Amino acid sequence: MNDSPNTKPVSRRRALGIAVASAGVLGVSAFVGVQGANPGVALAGAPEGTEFDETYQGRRITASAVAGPEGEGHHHGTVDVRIDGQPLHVMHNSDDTYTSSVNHYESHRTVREAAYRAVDTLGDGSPVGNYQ
Amino acid sequence: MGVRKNQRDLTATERTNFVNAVLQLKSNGGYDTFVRQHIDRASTDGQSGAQRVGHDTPSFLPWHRKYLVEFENALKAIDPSVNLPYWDWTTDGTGSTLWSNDFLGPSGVAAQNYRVASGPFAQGSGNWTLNVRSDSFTFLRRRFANGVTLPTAANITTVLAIGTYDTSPWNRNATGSFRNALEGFQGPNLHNRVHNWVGGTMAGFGSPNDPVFWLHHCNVDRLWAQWQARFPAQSYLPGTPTNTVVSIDGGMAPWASTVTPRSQLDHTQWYTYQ
Repeated sequence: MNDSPNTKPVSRRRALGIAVASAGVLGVSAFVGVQGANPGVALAGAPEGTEFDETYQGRRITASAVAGPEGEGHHHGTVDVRIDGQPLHVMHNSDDTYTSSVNHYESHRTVREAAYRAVDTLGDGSPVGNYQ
Repeated sequence: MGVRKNQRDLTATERTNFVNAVLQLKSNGGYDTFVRQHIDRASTDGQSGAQRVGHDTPSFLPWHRKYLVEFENALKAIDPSVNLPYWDWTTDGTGSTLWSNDFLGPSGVAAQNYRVASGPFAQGSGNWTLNVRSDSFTFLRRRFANGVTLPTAANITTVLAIGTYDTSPWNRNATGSFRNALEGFQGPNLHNRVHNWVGGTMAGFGSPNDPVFWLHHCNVDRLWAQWQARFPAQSYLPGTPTNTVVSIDGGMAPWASTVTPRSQLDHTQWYTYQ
């Protein structure tokens, strides 16, 4: 994280996240479907905030931890994040922050904040994961 | 040898020639190859255990120096008179002629999801559809100054005073590192925040889809050149092979193994700054 003036206040986003998450009870059953479609393996000891399914600004956001290569700690695991089912590339940085393909020049404290920021930036657009 | 000027000092003819060369590179497909290279680099730089070549790493500066030279050469193949101009963020904000309709065009329209609606790089001009992308938008987007300010002259003075090129652990956590402060992960944040100030397309993996990318990075490169002149005894670091980063004699993908940070240190073999 840097302390520059362009860093968004995180407290408001976190507060929003809690409010949305507590209202998103129906997300539990839907999450099974997402896991079924995703070959990734959920980690038993996944870092907090890398497993969720909720609605933000009318967009469905899902996140699930995916195991990293054998012998690596959770810091090297990846997170499968989707916005309305479209994959959002999210990196786990060396300072334990997260950066997405939509906001490549920002860092966020949690996967959830990175996903919210991507939704805010995209408006009615979507990420494209298969850009290779 | 080319001379790279401040964009505000270009003549009307130079502005027109630059825009036309960029549009021709777009129409012949060459431009999209550059966008692809950046997306490849940005996505690989974030993979666990992968060598970081373009971002969050010491070779951020030489990688982009080479990338800009390649792009400038592609423009020169179309029009030999063209040189990359640079954007001095400390003097040219929202009101700059940089954003006029005969140059790079304006910020986006809020009611149209920040679509750039006029100028040569509006999709409606017929010449600028985004083909290689990391999001669904086929049109250029900008959202100027959305909670972000541009770096000040004082910010730049602070960063240029850091007398060591880079420090362990050679990533965003490096302190006392000129590279890391210029890239923007520590200190006042120079490079990263300008991407965010422009917003929209410039905020993502596909940032070179906005032609201002080249003027922005030209200024980053100019600041590195100023630092090199100020600290001639200081060189690129790390000087010996180091895990997951490119040392001074390491090759930088996607180019030949001879394209090392050392090979990029003397920019005057290709251009100077005015």
